[in-house]
Amino acid sequence: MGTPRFDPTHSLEFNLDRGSVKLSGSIERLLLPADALAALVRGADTETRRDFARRLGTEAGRRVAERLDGSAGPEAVVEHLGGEVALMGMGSLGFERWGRVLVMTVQGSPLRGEGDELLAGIVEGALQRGFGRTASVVPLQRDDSLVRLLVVNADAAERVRGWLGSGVGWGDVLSRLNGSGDAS
Amino acid sequence: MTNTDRVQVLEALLERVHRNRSAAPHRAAVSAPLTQTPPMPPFVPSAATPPSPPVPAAAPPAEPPPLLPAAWQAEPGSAVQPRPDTMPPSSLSPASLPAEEIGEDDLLEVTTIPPEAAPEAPREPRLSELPVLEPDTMEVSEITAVGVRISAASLDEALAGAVQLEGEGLEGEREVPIHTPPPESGPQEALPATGFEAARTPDVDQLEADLISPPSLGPTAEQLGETIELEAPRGPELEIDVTVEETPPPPEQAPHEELEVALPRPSLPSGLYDMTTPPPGDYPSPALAEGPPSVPEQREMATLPVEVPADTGPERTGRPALGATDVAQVTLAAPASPKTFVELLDASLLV
Repeated sequence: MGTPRFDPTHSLEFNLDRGSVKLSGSIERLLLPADALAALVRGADTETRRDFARRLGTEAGRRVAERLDGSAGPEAVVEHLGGEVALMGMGSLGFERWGRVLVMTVQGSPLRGEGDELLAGIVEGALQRGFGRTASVVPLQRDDSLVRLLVVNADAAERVRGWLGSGVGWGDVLSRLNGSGDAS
Repeated sequence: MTNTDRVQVLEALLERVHRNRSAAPHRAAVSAPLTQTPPMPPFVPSAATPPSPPVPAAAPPAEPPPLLPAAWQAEPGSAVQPRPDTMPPSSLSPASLPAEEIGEDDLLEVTTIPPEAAPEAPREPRLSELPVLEPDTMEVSEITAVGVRISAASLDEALAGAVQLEGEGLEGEREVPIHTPPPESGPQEALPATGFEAARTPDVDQLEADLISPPSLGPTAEQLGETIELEAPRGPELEIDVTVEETPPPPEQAPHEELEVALPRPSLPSGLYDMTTPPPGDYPSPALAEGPPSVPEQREMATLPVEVPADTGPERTGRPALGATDVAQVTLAAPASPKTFVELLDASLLV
């Protein structure tokens, strides 16, 4: 059975008479300025930001899980999950595989560097709700338009944060993760 | 019972003995003293006899028997008691019984203790006072119940016997009790053994006499016996051929060789010898016998010439030369690429 393609037709519905916006028939949405949201997120504490981002990713993962199953390939997941992230206006999602390490990339996030932690929460929520996996996403590297999000377990995430805090480059972090993990 | 009472008892017994001898002469053969007490139950003296119930056999018959003397009185203190089984039933008339069985003695023995006799104070019965029980009415005077003597021939003998009974009565008190005394009663007097055990008792006097007597100077006549002289030999004389046999000379003993070897000192362990001890100087060197030589003599070796053509060598077969080639072929394992996103995600989570 082939993987259905992501079809965003009529996903977003604007009701000008009622003055509401809906996304794929869900509850109403808001169209907010990115810098305002960035300021709001910046002003919130860590747990509030984390909870906010996971609720956005859980909704995206639910919609992906409605269309994909466990046998879906990485391309299909990138297509459908990336489509959901794009509908939220958070950038373009992509995957990178460094050895055994999975790295997600988000291109063109309107929040820039202030929105990397928010993007990491969205991915965690989406993987938990759409694929049933508890993963820890750590912002690994960032440039002007691209941010790399490392997908590992909680213990590895702590080590990576320690390495990054001590000045280890993201390439060395990937090398250490591939050298220290299980060869299988 | 005093001696006077005993005299009276014995007089009565003597009188009955005389009567029995005159009335039953055919029983004279039974005059040998019996040594066995008939199996009669022990009689209790008059003090223990209840006077109230009269003995049926003692009841006077309706008609007095003609042989019973009218002047006879019950002997005071008489211990002679009638045997119920020997008494004829009262219903039988004296005429129906044989003359020998209904004797005067039988009737006289059926006596009872006079009721007026006051019961004496209970005392320990003495051997001489024990009653005389009769196994048979005709053997009254011949029974020696526990201590009663045999009938006497005269009154003097009876008196003498009474005095003797008095003396023996004291000794009877020392009789060994029938039952084994308890250990709490203390040591008992050891009496000389009687019966079969008496033969084992050593005669102490004889043993002492043997020890005191001087040592014998030789065998006695009883030990030597009679000497019998042998008669002179009769018949031809026998000659014995005696051959003098010369004894062979004793073999000359070879001189002993001194093969003494010093034993290991006791300080050394068993089986070890002190290697530092020099051998004895006069120890003869062993003479080795000449045997056949163990090494064979060297034989002459001859080499046979083999004719081989000099121009032809061995035909050899060599392995063909191999050119440069790739002997080893290494195949690198293709990296396992996850087919699904879940596999990729799981692999990344295991890092």
